Amino acid sequence: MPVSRWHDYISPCHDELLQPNGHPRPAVAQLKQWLDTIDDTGLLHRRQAAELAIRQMGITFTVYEDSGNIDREWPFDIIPRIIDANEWRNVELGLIQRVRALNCFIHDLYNQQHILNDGIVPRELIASSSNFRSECVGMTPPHNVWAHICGSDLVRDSDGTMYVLEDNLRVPSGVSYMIENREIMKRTLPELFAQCRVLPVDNYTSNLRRMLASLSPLPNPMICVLTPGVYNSAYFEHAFLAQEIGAELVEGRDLFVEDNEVFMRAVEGPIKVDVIYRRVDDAFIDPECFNPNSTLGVSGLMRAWRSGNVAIANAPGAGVADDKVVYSYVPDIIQYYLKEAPALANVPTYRCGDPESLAYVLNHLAELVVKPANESGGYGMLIGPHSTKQQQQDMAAQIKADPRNYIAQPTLQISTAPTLAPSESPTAPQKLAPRHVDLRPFILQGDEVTVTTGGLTRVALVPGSLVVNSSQGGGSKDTWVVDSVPADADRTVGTASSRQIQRQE
Amino acid sequence: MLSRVAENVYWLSRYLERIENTARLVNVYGRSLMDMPDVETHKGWMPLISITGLDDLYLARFDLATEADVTSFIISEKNNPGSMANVAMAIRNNLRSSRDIFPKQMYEKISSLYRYINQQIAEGIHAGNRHRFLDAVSRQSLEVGGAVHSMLRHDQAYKFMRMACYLERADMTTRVLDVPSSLLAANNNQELSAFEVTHWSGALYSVSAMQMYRRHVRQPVSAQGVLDFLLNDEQLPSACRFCLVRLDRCLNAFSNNELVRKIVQSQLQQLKHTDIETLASDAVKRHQFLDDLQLGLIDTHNAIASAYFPPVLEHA
Repeated sequence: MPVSRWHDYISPCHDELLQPNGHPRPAVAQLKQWLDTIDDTGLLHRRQAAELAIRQMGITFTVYEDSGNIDREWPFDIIPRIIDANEWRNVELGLIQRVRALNCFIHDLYNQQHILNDGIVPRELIASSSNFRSECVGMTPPHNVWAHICGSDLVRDSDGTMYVLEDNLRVPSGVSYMIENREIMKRTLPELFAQCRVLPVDNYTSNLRRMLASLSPLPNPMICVLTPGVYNSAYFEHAFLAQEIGAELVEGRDLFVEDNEVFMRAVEGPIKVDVIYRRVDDAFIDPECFNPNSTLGVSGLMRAWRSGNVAIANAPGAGVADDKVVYSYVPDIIQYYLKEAPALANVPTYRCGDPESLAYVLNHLAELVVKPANESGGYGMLIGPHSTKQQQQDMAAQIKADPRNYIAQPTLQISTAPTLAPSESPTAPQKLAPRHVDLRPFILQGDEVTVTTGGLTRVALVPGSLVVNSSQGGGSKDTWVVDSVPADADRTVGTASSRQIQRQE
Repeated sequence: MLSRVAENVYWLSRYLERIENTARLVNVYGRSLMDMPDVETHKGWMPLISITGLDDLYLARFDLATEADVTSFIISEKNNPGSMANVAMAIRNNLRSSRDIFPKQMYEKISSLYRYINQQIAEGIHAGNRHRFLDAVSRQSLEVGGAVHSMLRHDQAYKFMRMACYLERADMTTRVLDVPSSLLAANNNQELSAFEVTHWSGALYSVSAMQMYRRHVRQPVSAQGVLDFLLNDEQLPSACRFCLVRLDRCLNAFSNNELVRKIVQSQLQQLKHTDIETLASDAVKRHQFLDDLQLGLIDTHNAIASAYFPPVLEHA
């Protein structure tokens, strides 16, 4: 019975929890033992408990469908993905290095452009970037930081190396699910927390609050989260974060600009806003400056920002570094600004704008992954080994029409983690199957740089699939950074109250 | 607090109060009808429709006011904007837009209320399940109320919720008091008058005030006793005076409250100088009086909206 749960478990590549010989990795021992002892009914109950928690807590994401917008419950797998704390510490340093360098790069692009003058990054690349916002030239935002919140996607290849797949610098989402996944797990597998040393994840929101406040000279600034509204697919997250950091959740229509200052329309009159955490793409934040038809933004917001009267995170224009061609230069960018070797690996990348690479890519479409430079959410991609001849031909035509807009990478053997396969019926055995996973940690930079403990693990629930996006059949797992050093036996005992509680005489 | 969110919170609270009142009304009215065996069954349930002023909408679809038709119209009818199904939807929409300002447990209580209604409503309209369904809605509404009182900081959001609740409740009380008027005015026959006491008892039950009436008034149920109690009592949560006094107290916490307070004060004066004895005996005057009160409540709402909510945009 419990043995059959692993019976035909064979990962085609690196597995996050099991070694090739089937034994658990060191930090996974307790979880493996737990999984080997619990029976099918017990596991089914845990699964149901998680589903109930998700419904109760109202953890949803919004999907657009013909019949209208629908709130879907968050797809979640109760088997955690475990990372050893020793490994994590190195990843964390690599991420900090990366985001610091990217911020130096963005600041440089909008000011002196040393990196272009020195020929490290080609000038045409920036000149042709749709994310370079000339309105931002000459700006010096607080701490010279532009990308305050970054979500980097990490994957592990078959040799066990962690690679950075991309850096999301525009409006990365998912962090609320990372925090809520932990809440669900505490309700679902409470006993495992007592056995494993799982490091907490909930300091993210206090770090976020502190980071946003550091963008204003005031000791206690008024912070807003700017959302496109209830129909946005990440509205749940916007409401969640506003609540967690004690900010007002506002829509564009709740704000107005007067004398280059931003105000909220409140019940007893206008209230000045000091920091805006925008979850609206910068092309839509100010109809006066960018898309004139946008109803999501606020007229005059850019003026207010340029005057230094309001901080915006991420700063307008930060998306210039969120480009898959720029990505291929990140190791050079790190070296150039920080004089350090990159601590995290980049996936080798062919830039189709470069004639030699272009020829190689066109000849090897069947084995490469091709991505448009400016899309997110997994749209517009070609996964060579999983594609048809027709799809490859279509992609070749698209690349030739606009080579600058495409990059290609070798197809990585993305690692797997054991996942509870959906069972046909409640009485069927609860089986574990290897499913591909990635990891999105979130990095905050204001006056200092902090990283989430682990991040959001996304899992492709469809067998064999590499697509982890929730809009396309992906789910998620709780991510445990586990400190395998045994706990200190001596626990400090708090001072008990010296007064007993009162009783009726 | 944002004007837009204030409006969402206000309507959220009105709809929560409305769904609780509707659940109780249908439940209680059904039981009191069982004590009136002679009322013609095809007319018997019409007052439930009249309470919410939806006679025209109902009669456009149905010829008779049978138990099954009236209850399903009130509970689940998609084309009835005031049906519990639609009110639940409005609760959900307003909750979405104000989710961030509520403590999580309070959010969970409210969302589980509308999820319950959504999932159980098809079963709930059947006579055999109706009581259980409506009772569960009432019970969950009480839990929501408890969460609001004990978890939400008593700040502006809380005060908007309270004001909305008092307005909604006072409005329901005036409507419930108007039922006997319309029935008795329409039917001059003696038989119906014999059930007058049953009707006034029904009014008390409909706003959960029967036991409080017995304890406090200590008189048999009568038109005069019930009218005085439900209009003018200062300590009964469903009495109009109670609601208006509390509403006025909430307004105190806001600036720019002069106009709203003036309207509320004049309603309180109106209540104070009412000749209850006349209202008890003259159904036409009673109806006129209650109608004026309802208009006053609408004015109060409009004044709150124009003082604190976002201006209504004209659609191009």
